[in-house]
Amino acid sequence: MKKIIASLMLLGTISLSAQNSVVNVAWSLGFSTGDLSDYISDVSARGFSLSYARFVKPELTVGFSTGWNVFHSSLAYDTYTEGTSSLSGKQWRTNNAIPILANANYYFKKSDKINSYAGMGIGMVYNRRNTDMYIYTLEEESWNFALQPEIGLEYKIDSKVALTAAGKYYYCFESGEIPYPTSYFALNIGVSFLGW
Amino acid sequence: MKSKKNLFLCLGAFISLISCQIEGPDSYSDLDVVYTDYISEYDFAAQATYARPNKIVVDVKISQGDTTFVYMEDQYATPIFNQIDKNMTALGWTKVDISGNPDVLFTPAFMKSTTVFYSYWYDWWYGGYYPPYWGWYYPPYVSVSSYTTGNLLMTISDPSSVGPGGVSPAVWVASAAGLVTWDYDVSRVTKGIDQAFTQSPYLKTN
Repeated sequence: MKKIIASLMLLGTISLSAQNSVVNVAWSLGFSTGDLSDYISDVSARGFSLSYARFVKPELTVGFSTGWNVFHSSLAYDTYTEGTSSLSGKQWRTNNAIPILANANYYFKKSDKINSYAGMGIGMVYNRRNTDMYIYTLEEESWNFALQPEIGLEYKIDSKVALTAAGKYYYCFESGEIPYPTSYFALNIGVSFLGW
Repeated sequence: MKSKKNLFLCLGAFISLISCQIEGPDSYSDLDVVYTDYISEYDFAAQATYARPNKIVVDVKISQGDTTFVYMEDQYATPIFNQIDKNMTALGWTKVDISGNPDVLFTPAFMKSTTVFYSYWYDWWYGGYYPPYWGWYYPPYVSVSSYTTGNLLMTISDPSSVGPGGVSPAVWVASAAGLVTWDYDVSRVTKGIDQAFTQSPYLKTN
């Protein structure tokens, strides 16, 4: 855990040395979709994202992003039957998703106050899933190839800082021990630091 | 420099959101589970009577070639037997003595297991969030803990069907398991017995 945090800090430090760039940190609200929603339907308020982007053209940025979304659900006492076997008990489900993506964003119309953009990310999402019952946990891991379309708004407070809101959809292709795609939508509310 | 500080403050705030402990079990009983399985080809409906022992074995001691069974105390065994008989009767079974040529044998057993483990801080070395906070934890955080699990096993076997070794194979098995607490709350066990029968409706006889 501490190593991950230290690595994220290091990434932030590196990005700060660049010029004409945008560093964004955001609180990330996660909404599971598809098969992940069948596994955990609860909305996740445990998440953050960190991204670095650099303007290669006045309206185009390229960069990378990472983050962490924790989906968790407590299931009431229930009976799970497969074939002739039945198991009853309470169950706790957790899915940790850590995306590591390369991103490109296109700004539609640049202004001094409000900017909107759309973009696409491509990369990997690390998923670790734990299903807990009794004193045991079933742990499954996967590195999923992922596509991440995104739209966002930024509201400049001054020339260096902007408030941001972005909607990102992480589509993770089936891979590893988790036998189906694990996809989710993230609403990110954060702060951008401009022009480093 | 100010923006850099603000960036770290924001990042720290968002990471702290994730670091909160996620919701888990609130009590020992939240971890109680019940497992059942059965032989689907076995015709439970064609049976009518069962016999069971009057004591529950909790341990076996072997000393100088002599084998001694250790039995569960009556204050715990009696409510367990009562709950088993209540559920079997509700499903149409009639209890008979072992000498009464029962259709099936109902055998409960209880197992207790204590696990002792070491827990320690996973990394003696730490890298500080800001230099120069680098170094070693000393002394290392190590503690010894233990937990005890209890497991009531129940089996139904058909004495007319004798398998290899002269043993009648179980046609139904149930396990009610949980963490054992200091107060030996037997109601958690009787609830487990009820659940084992609830999830085994195929045990009903005609």
